[in-house]
Amino acid sequence: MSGQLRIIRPGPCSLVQDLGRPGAAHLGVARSGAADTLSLRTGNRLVGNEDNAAAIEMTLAGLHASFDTDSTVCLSGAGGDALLLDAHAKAMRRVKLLEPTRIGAGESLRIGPLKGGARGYLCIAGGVRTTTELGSRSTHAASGIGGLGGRALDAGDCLPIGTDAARPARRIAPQARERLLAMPLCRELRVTPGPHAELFDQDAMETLVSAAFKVSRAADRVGVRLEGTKIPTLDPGTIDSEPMLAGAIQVTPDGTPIVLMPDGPTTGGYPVIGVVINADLPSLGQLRPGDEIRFSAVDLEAAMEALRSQRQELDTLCPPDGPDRP
Amino acid sequence: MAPDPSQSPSTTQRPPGITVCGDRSVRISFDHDPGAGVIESVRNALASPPIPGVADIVCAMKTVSVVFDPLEADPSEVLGEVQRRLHRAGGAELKDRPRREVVLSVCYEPPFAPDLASIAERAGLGQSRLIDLHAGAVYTARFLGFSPGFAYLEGLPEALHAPRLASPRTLIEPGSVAVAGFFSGVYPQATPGGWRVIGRTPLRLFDTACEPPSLIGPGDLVRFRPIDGAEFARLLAEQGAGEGGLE
Repeated sequence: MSGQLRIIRPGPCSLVQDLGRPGAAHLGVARSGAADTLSLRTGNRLVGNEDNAAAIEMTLAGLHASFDTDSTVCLSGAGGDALLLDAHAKAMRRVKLLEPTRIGAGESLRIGPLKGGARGYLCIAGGVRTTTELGSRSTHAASGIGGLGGRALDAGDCLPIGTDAARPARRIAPQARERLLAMPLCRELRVTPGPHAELFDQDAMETLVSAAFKVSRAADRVGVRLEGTKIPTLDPGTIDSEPMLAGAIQVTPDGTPIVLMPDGPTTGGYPVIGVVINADLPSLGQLRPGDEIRFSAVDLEAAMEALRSQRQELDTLCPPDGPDRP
Repeated sequence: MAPDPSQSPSTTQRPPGITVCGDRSVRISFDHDPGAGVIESVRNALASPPIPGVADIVCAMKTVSVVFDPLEADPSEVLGEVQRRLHRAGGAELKDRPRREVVLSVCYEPPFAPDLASIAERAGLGQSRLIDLHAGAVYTARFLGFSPGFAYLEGLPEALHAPRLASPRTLIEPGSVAVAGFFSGVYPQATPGGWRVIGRTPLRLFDTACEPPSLIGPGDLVRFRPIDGAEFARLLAEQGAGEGGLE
């Protein structure tokens, strides 16, 4: 079965995202995918979806969307005041983060400005069912692929949605809910050393792990530019273009650190002083302009342990296969 | 960003450094440009049979990156497998593989070539001579990067070597043919860019409805065929009449 979700009022940057588009980087296509994969996985699991089902990623602002079919939705990540409205746009009740909610045909969901983080997810049982391109539904604006025509959602857009999830929706205990909401909100990001150590002296490394940085207004899905502290580079300050990763902390010749995000370029020419570990990428995706962050250095073993224990915690608090089928 | 044009390819054959980079990639890095053939043989050795858990193999000029899911493949195991395979391949160079040849029609006329005059002045050559040189060369797509379908084309005649614009343009039209350092390239999408634009192709460079989606693939040979404004318009119209079209 399928239905439609209609955007009444979009946020400035509401995008269809799943877990991303691996396998196309050699063509210059960024991996994309949810900026906070932890919250996407959580929301999807609660409505009974596979982790990779596509959802709507909202940025800083909320949105207003109506459903033409009965559906189950769950909000995850950063949240705003969310109201379920009836067909006459009269408020029926509040919708809380990480609480699966039934929506009837003709009803709509109105979400206010996001608080506490930069990105919220509207997960729908059965997922957003736009066409897959290169194996993913994720929107990549720069290449104009994924989502609807590769662009942010607009008022009047209709998105095909599934109505049947793989499993029934379920609820979680309040403590589990609190913990799941807090997991992607770390303000100290752990990094492993980057590959261009020869272009940074000891001072630069010490600056990276001791100073505080402020997230500038130039923070989007391509990269997050940090201000407040410069990191000195040695001559020449640029490298031959080489493959890049999300989480790589590039340093421009004037010492500005830029952390690459899921839509960042697949190759780049600024030296990389460190790479944010996998486990902390969701927190990177929740940074808002003005947030203050710090970095700490860890080795590969600690990075792997952090990732494994994070996934284990997610699986314990919100198992991927959910309750037994009836 | 284009590599420093002053660094010319070297012929010394030192083995590459192989390290784990981040907690999800293995980086293979040469301290010199080993040439397209060596990079391709590295890629092939790593691509087949596939290494379990590996999602992407990305090549650039002197560097190859193997990106994996660290919950599916342990970094030290991927590192070990990469080392074994490259040791076995022994720095072999792919020389005689059949290469696909892509011919791009390019209009070098004024509205499409804002930077042709400045390059001609730098080189002390006439614009028509520069066009002959650009269209007379055979290029190798060394790697794709920057944006989907953007190929770094090696083989640019020296007269056309020019630094990037001091201040990048905020918008470059799709199909713009440009040069920077010792590379030529074609912008597939409307993006900001700092390369010097000398022409435009009406062809669509990147389209996920096509298989493969990128008109130019890594390792392909590329030639440019000069066309006039009338033929540009005709080809553009033909292409637009194809399927659905771009957004």
